[in-house]
Amino acid sequence: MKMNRRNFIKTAAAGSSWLLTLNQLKGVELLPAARAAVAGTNLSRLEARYYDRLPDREIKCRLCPRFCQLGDKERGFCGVRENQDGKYYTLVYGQAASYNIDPIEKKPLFHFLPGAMAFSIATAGCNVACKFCQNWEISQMRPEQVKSRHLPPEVVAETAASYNCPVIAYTYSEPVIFYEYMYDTSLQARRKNLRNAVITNGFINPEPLAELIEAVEAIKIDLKAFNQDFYTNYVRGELNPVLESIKQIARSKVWLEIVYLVIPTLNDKPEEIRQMARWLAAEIGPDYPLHFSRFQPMYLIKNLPPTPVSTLERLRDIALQEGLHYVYLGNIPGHPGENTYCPNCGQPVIERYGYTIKKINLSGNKCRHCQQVIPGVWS
Amino acid sequence: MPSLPAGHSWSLELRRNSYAFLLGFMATSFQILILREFEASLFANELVYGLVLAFWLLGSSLGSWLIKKNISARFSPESLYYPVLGLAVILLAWLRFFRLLSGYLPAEAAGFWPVLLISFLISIFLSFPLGALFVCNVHWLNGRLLTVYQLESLGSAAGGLVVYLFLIPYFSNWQAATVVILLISVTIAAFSSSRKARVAALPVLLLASSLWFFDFPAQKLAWQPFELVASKDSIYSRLQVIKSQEQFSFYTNNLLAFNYPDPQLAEESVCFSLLQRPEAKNILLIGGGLNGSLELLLTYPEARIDYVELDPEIIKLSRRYLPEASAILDQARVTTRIEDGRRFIGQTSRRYELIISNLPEPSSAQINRFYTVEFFAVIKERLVPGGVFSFVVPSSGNYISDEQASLLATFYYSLKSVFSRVTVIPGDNNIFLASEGPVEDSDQALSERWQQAGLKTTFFRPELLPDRLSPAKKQYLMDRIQTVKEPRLNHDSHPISYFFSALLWSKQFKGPELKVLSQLLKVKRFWLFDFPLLLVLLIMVISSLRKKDRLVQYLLPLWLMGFTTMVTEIGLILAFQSKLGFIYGKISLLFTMFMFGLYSGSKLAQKSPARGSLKLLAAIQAGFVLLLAASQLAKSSEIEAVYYLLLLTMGVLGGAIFSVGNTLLLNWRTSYGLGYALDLFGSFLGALLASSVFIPLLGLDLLFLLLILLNSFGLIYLLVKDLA
Repeated sequence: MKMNRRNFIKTAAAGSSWLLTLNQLKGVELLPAARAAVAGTNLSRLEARYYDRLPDREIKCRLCPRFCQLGDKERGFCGVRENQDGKYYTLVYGQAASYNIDPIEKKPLFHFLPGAMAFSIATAGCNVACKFCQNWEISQMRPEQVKSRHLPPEVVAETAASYNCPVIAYTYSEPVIFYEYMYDTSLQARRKNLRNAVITNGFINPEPLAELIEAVEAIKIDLKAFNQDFYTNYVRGELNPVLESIKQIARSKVWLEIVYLVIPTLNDKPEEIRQMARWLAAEIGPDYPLHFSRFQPMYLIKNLPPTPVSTLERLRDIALQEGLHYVYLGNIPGHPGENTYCPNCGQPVIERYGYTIKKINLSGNKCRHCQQVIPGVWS
Repeated sequence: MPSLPAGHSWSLELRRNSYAFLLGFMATSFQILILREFEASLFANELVYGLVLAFWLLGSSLGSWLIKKNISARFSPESLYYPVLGLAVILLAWLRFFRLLSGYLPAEAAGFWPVLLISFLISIFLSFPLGALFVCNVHWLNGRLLTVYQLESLGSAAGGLVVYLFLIPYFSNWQAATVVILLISVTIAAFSSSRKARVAALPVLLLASSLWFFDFPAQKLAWQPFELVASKDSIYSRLQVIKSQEQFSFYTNNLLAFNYPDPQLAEESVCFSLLQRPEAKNILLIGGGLNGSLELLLTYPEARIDYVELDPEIIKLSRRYLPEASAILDQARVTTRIEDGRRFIGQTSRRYELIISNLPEPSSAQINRFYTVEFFAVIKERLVPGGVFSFVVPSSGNYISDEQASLLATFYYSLKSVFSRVTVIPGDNNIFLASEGPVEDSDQALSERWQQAGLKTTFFRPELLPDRLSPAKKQYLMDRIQTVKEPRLNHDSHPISYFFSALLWSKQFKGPELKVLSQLLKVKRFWLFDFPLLLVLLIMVISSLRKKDRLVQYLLPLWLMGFTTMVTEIGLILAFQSKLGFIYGKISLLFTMFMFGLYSGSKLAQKSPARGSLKLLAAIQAGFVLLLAASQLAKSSEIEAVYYLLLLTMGVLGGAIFSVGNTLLLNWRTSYGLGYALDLFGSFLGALLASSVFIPLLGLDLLFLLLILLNSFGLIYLLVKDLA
């Protein structure tokens, strides 16, 4: 589907009044789970999934590789899941802190419904603590500290549909920590023939990921670096579980794209990028897109220099040399590295400027010039 | 006293007096240099400035209070002064490598608690022995406390002048510290009678010389893994240049000032306003022109641009590292003016179609001056009818928190109080546009103007504008701004923006400081204004009822003087900067006037026959009340001499109170450090609270009223005591 400028403006203009419309949508019948969420005002209280009960009212969370073991009244690292008397609850079910209509290219997803608008939601909380987070005012906060709006799953789906957004994106903070909300919303979305895209750090355990894969259509993973030191020092996470998630998604039917935010001197070593590209080519094949994004200083390291464009170009060349077919450059509008090129004939099959599609030379899923199949979800 | 045997020769007298003078010289020099190094190495907002200064005064206060009498008897001045000089070198080095040693990246926001800890440790480690040395000097001069105080004040005035006028303009912080240590060591060695003491100067000088020679290598090391290619301590800040591939990043005091090339920020700051008035012929750009903004403005063939930049060194560095980009400054259509933007806008008679302020966000009182109602009013006067004013502030495109919304609301409503039309562009940076004429923010209209103007831009383009300017995003932003409860206006005399900025800064670190600042914002006026008054009044009433309570009687005026002079000094300097601009040499002159006043006042009072009477103390206190009343009226004056006169008079009265108060105290009890400690403790509270709490939350008007009332109570208390 192509989103031209007229459609874009129409959709964006429609968005201006959606806040009002949401009030009218409150009459929609709520699912039992959502009713439970309504009970709280700023915090919801719905029993979480993927946890084990332990003696002495303790619990062990199995959602992400942190495996937080918590006593009564304690919260996990993410700050949004709490043990209450031996029962584990999510506190952010239906509590959207941020909701916007964005082009799907902004996520970025380049091989998934190009030009589509994504109704994007996020709650407070995150299971890592990146020093360069763009959305730290929601991701690094507890739900009590952010202004949220109660948007149960069916309201999200209803609203997305009413604004002609074919995709619902779970994004901005870390959707893994609002797993139940994301999962239920994706089911609601499917009932309305909408697709679901998850924008995640991939720091999730295989079991919940396996279930999520059955409910969504696309996952974009932020691979923060290809070494554990970076994950330890700047992310407070682990690399290996993320790599396992990438392999698991690649084995499924879900469309996968990978984004690598290049921070100058911290994760831009050419040799490391070469190793990563080799690993991707060997483990998941050359056809999943890899995006190198330009770092714009944010949050705790907002005084670091942005990434030089030449660094990104060099890293892209390395990834292409290692056999990856679709390597993109992000946050540099107008750069040729934003376009999709056919790996067979080298002709541009999708031309972009920033988040805007300029031209699509695809016939179905094939290059219009040489009929090479270009992998992705195109319609 | 081991090293200063009794004697009456001129040279011996000079030697004995020189130590007190050197103490003042040393204390003020190091205070200035440490504070500058703090600014250059760590993020320093008003809260941090206040903390460093407050801890410094607290350390001095504790040092003078806790020092044991036998220390001065057991040690010679040399054996105490040299280690303090050595300690200063070590602390300066520690400050520079604090980030590296603590595992922070260069320029990473370190957080409130690490900053608090390092400011506490460094200030206390150095100021504690300096406070103790004050009392040692009194012992070495056989109890002549007032002489020590006067010499120390004179030394402080001299130290301030030397550092501000002769060292900082020509040397880096570390080099200036080397010169200060050299001057003090050589003076001590020259006056010392023992050869051993002279030799002891050598290791100190050796240590100090390492500051001189390893200044740049140390900075390079501290910036690892980034490549530092140049550094220059200008009179205003430390300027550093980092090179990454083809890109240069310019830093001022460890904060990213601009990158080159950086089309995104240049286009953000220029295009939205430029396309409001495509016919503009006269444009004023305040700051930040070298990131590409000037180049962009010059794409209009008829535009003539006045570019105002505070720091000439930043232009020199740009010419060296960005020769092509800075060649634009030589174009005939660009006039570069090196001066404070606020001063320029106040004095120019020119009128502009566009005025673009390209300055950092208001994280300090110094920058806050460019975001006040009064500044906006002057801007409006300098615009032609229908001209446009714009500035950019960092924000968030996806979510606007309550703290961010409060800050944005302050800008919005302050602008709205001056201009009839104010528009805010959403995104990761918010662009404020204000005018009396039409302001356009629709993507279609701006895209058409962009095409007509033939701008060659990357980020500001019709392809990207619909997302940036979607009605939903504009609506969300305005909803967040307009639903802020009781938005506050940002005034010169009531600067609130930097408090909101500190709130937002503290939020990043998720510590209890956010709660403290948030609570302070909710605190009713009673707790900041009425409660301190009632508390002091209560102490005075209780003390008045206890007829033999001389301790409070003598110490309270000293505490009050310390508190009042510190708060008034900060308030007047802030008012000076708002009205007359930030003029480097003149700020140092204000400080020197005050220190010289302290010396003169103390000397005058010492000579007075009534120096030991409560009546004289009450009379000086009455003078203080009058001075504060005058300051209340004069703080909006635009006559420079008024500020010098006020600070000189305040110094004179402060010195006199110290002199008389201590004479009374020492007549009653021999405790040399106590009066000095109370004076410094008052200053500590003043430094801690003035710019971080009182000025933003009460405003200068109420703050001066608080001081007038506090000092009036002090006057009544002294009169009652005198009658009793």
